[in-house]
Amino acid sequence: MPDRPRRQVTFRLTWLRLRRSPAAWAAAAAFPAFILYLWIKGSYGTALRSFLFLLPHAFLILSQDMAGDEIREGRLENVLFLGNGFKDHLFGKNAVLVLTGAVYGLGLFIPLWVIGLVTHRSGWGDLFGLVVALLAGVYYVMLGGLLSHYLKGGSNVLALIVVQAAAFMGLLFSAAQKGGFLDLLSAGHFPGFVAKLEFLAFAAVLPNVVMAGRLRHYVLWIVGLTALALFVQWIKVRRLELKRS
Amino acid sequence: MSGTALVVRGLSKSFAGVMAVRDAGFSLERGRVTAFLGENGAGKTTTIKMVLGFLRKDSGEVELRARTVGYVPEQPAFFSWIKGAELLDCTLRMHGVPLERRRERIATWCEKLSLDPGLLERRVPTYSQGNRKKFSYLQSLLVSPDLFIVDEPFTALDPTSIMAARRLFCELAEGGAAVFMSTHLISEVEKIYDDVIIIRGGAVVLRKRREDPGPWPDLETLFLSSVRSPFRGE
Repeated sequence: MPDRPRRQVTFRLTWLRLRRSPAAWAAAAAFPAFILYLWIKGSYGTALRSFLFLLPHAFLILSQDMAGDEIREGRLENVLFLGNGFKDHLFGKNAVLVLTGAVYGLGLFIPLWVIGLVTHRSGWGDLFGLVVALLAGVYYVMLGGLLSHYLKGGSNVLALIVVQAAAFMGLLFSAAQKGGFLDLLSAGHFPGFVAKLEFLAFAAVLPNVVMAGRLRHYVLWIVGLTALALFVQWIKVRRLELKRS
Repeated sequence: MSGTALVVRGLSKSFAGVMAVRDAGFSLERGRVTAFLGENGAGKTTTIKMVLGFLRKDSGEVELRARTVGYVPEQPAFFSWIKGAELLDCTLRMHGVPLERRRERIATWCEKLSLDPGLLERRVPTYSQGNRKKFSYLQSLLVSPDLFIVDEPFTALDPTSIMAARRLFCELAEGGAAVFMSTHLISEVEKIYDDVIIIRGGAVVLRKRREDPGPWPDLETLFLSSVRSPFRGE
């Protein structure tokens, strides 16, 4: 089977799923509404910064239930996915979700940024912020895809959000401690091996953190994690067998 | 059309140290209906899934000589968000069938399978079990397979549809396709089979053409004599 028709089918099936997902629509509508609210109640700067900080989560929402249920319930045992077709399909979904997230992100960012440019409230430097946000988004898709091989339904996303909430709580507790992790995060400086390791673990769970100006060079860590998640997913998919649970 | 559609040599597979299929070998000829018989857990579905690439084989070789393959699983499952017509469109698009011929082909097969075309505008998982099975037939037949593999072809079908399915298998074979069906319903297979392959404990224990001479009066006797084991007090 030629690759192009297969890719088209993967694109169509994935796109139809997103189009008919109430959660995806709700998130897609709530995000710009929230940014608009911040703009009206706060300022343009707050809205733009929040947009870039939260954009990766749009990718995370897209990655819910990427693979697990399709495999366990036998939906891939179909004439469409004979041979290694199901593997190509599962792997190809990453690209479709990344593309969808990027188009969605750009569709919201461009008008927001252009308005800021015209009114001298945004600059070309924000484009770098967008690139970092998109890279963090790509990481979420790869991580979400990998987790969905192990967790049922949308719990791949839920599990990550729970871990993020726990990490955030830990961050809040560290605020009471002088020179605690929150202070280090604000300073963008992590003295010692343990502090660095703590930050890298924190960024692995909440990659949005690299949006902070002083931490943006850590985007390379996120790129590395993305490559790792993609590689592990590739190994997982390559060895995959369709067994119903 | 004659010739071989599939050759399987020395196929083996184990799950957690338990051999599910051992050194299975057979070939499927075009223009013939081959029945794949075996008791529960004999390794029929595992063999089929290895042939189709859904399971990795531990060893052995699958040589697919067919151009297009159709497959109907025992219990077809479908994406919950997709309508029948959309899935069929994906299937036909993938096989390069031009847009103008898609509708006509779908209508023809819907009629042959007694499947209400109105159902195609609904999401497939909302269909009854029988209609899901028929839809799976429809999806596979649309691609004009020259190897048609069906796991438990008669499950969930009503008697009229079973008759239609039998007729369909014969028509496909007459048209030059190799039909390979794994089933427990020996009485149904008896009416249409050309070749029979019997698997027991993961190993192919018998390969026979209908015209081959033998002491067995019917397929059921042949099956029972092949799977009977002195160790099970039968």
